[in-house]
Amino acid sequence: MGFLAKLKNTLGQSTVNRDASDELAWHLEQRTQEYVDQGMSPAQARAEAHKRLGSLALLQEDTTQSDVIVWLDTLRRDVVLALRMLRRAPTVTAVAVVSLALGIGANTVVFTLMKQVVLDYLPVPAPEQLLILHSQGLEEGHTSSNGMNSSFSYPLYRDLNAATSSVFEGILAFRGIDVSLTGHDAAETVHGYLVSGNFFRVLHVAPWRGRLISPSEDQTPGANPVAVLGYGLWMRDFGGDSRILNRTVLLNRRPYIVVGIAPPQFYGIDVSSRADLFVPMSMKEDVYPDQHPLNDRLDHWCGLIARLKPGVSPERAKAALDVIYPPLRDQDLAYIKTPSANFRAAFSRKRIEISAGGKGYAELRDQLSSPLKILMGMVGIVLLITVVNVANLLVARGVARQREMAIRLSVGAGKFALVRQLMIESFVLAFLGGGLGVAIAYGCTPPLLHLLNFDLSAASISAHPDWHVLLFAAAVTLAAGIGFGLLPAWQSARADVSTGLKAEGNLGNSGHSAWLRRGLVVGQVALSLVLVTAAFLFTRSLQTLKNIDVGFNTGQLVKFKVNPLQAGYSQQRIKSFGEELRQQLTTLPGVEGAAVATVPLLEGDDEGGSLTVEGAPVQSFQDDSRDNYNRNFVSPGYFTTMQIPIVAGRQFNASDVLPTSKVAVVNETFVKHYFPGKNPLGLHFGFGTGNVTLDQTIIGVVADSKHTSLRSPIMPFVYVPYLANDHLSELVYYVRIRSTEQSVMPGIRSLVRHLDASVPVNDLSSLTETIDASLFAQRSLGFLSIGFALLATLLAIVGLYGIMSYSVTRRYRELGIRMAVGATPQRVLMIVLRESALLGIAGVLCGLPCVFATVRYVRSSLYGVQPNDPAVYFSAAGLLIVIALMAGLVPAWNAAHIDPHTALRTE
Amino acid sequence: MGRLLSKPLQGSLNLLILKTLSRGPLHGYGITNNIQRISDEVLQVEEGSLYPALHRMEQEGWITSEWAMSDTNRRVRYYKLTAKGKRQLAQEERDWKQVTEAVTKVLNFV
Repeated sequence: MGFLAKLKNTLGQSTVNRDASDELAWHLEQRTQEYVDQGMSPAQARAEAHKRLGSLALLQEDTTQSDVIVWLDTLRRDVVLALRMLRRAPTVTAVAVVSLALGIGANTVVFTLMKQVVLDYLPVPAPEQLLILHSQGLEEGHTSSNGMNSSFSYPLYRDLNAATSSVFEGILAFRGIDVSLTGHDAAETVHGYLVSGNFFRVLHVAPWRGRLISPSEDQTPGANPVAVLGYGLWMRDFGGDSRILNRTVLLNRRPYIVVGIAPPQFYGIDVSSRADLFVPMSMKEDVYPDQHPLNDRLDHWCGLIARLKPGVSPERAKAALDVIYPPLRDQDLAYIKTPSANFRAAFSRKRIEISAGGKGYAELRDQLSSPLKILMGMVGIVLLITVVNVANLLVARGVARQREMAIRLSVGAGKFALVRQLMIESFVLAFLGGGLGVAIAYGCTPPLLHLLNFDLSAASISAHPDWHVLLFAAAVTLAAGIGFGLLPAWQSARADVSTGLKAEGNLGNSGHSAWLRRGLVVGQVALSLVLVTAAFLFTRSLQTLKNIDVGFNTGQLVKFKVNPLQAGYSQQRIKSFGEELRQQLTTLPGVEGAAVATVPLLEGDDEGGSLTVEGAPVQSFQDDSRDNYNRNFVSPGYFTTMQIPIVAGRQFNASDVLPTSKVAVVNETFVKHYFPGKNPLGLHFGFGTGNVTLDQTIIGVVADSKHTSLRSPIMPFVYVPYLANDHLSELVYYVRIRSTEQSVMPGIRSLVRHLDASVPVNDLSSLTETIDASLFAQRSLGFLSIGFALLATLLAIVGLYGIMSYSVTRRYRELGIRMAVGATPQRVLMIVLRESALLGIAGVLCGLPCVFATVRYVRSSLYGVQPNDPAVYFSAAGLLIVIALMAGLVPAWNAAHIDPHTALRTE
Repeated sequence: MGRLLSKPLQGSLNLLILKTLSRGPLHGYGITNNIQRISDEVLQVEEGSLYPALHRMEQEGWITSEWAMSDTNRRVRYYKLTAKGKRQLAQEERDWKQVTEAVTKVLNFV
């Protein structure tokens, strides 16, 4: 019978049953009638007919039974038997199930994140056709990071889009924005995108309601104040009410018409930062205010993603770009005032690179993909250790069950039946563990992420496993079941009836399995060594990062952000608000000083570009560096508040506000690079290259400090008074406090509310928290690697303890004899401990090559610690050997207290 | 004359059913009655084995079944021989003859 027929038979069971009973009922009736005709009483006739047909129910079952039913029924019986056998050894079962649950649970948790952050594609049709474009090489003018680490000017984007229609369906441009949205309620800050007119068309995204932004709305700057809302925002703020369509909302206090709603699954380009609002790029000056007009060829700020035409390979597209881009690049060069020959040479090497864009761009992916891969590897090892551990337990139990197996064989069970039964026990065990593991993953992921300070609220990432993940967990469970089931099954298949039956108790013919178990324990120790080494490396790396001297005092420092521009303030009013808030902050109890910056510190942001200095041509700071300097606009008292030492000259004061006095403070790296060997005070430079006025005068030099992130190198840095900047939007306040953060924060909030309730306080936190958040990946690696190493070590202890107790029991008589002929308890203790230590050493020796083989994969995630640091290996190896000794201690103690009289009488 | 239950002749049950059906479609009850009658009440099909056997033979594709209305207006299942079943019948008849001839030879020899 074919499989389909079987399936049909199984599924159609009820029809088959009904047909069968109809048929049999008719048969019975006929037969009864016949007997009645022969002269029986009806009752007698019916009884006789029944008797002749046999039990109706039984018959019915037999008639309709198909192979699947037989198979399922046998399976059910086997599973019941397996459960009974597992219940008979509750400790072994509990240890096995719990360790499997932890192993599978850990895998499920990591895979849940891995899948969404690293593996999942954008929820758009044919995502594999998407390519991210990168501008490589020198930039001239103003560059701002859009998270994609590569940006294009809007005019260049338009040119590229028009010139590449032979290979691309289209190129879209986007830029993340944060705007204040006023619907029918209070204003809130919303993350969204400025998008090119073809954004949704290139992505093949259809509207959920209304319509999406069209190319015609991205033509004239300022002409199309329209917005598309993300589904999440629409549900949250407008209750999914379609009446919002064609109504007006306020973005940064300017009216916009809501034309449509994006579909629910569409989160933009970045899975880690959901876009809730889409506005055409033509409206840049409204919602993304900086000093550059939309058509500025020297302002690089857009991220570009292209969709390949069907049938066009990425290589062909790259080849086309290599032809199309150079004339456009040279056109850009024409806009640069009097470039030097060096600059021309460097600029003409600029090119456009492509990378796969199907998964969109996620800062989180850049940040997390290698830590996640490492974690995936680590949980894989944890699972392997678990499997080895359970295999060890089962082999031990197999020895105890040798008699049972021998009896079964002798009463006619085939070897295959035994192996099958043992494999089923293993699978039952695996699925008990797997089920518990998934439950653990389901319950533990959110609190774990919370513990790691990982905020999912802005991301389109779910902490709960979906069905892909469950499938993964099931596959892992199945693999684990096969993994730890094969060895005991194979071992039992080797069982010999005669020796098995002769062996009394559980100490029979087990020399072979003892070696098997020792091998497994050695393997466990070896794998644990890999995890313990990793834990050492990552915690040291985290410690080094945390102890990095950032160049300013991060203790007792609180920061928060306000955006008066979003509240509709003019530049002049922003400045007066900014200074008033700064001065009032210093009057709060517990506050020592306050300062303002426009670029937040250690949050991954930077702002910079090219510059020209007095006296010498500018060399690029670094070959691969996009910028020649980084910059921040700061308030008077900034360096005092941050406690950045002033090396020479002075800092800004209240008189540096006039736009006519263009003063700057630079860091020591700036001086070293641009004015080597000179006194920089009073020297001049200008922003930009070419025919620029050298109108910035250096009035002070400060010590170097970290700016973009803990790990980024120190750039030549320029500080400019924020009061001399006429393009202010967000202000970042740094408040130096004397008392605790908790006591100061409420005061800060009420102060800002008192000044203007329509300016919300964002991101109020201590600098320590900011740093912790920036170290999210390293912290996760550190904490989780410790957790996994502990788990692995614990399982290794269980394994070692098991094999050592077993060994002592086996050598009971031998040790008794030794003691009878004069061995001291200490000597016996040492014999056992030595065996335990030897197992540990063997494990470490086997583990070291594994460590060497794997450690190079984590090199990029380490900071300030060498992966081949001998100290790390010695400590990890030492720790495991000590643990091996400790695991042997109790069995050794028992051995030392063997009573020789009893031991000698034992058989 | 004693009655022989077909149990010992398990292997022959298929043959008997196929042969009976070769005369035309019939329901289960009719098959038992036919075998019983034609064998002069010697062979009595054990009804407990009949239906499972029919089911197996249907799965093998030797017979098919369909529902029809009886004279008393009841749903009755009729079994019918297929081409495959006819070939199977020929095969089993040959086998049976060989075996019985062989057994007869042995019986005659001693």
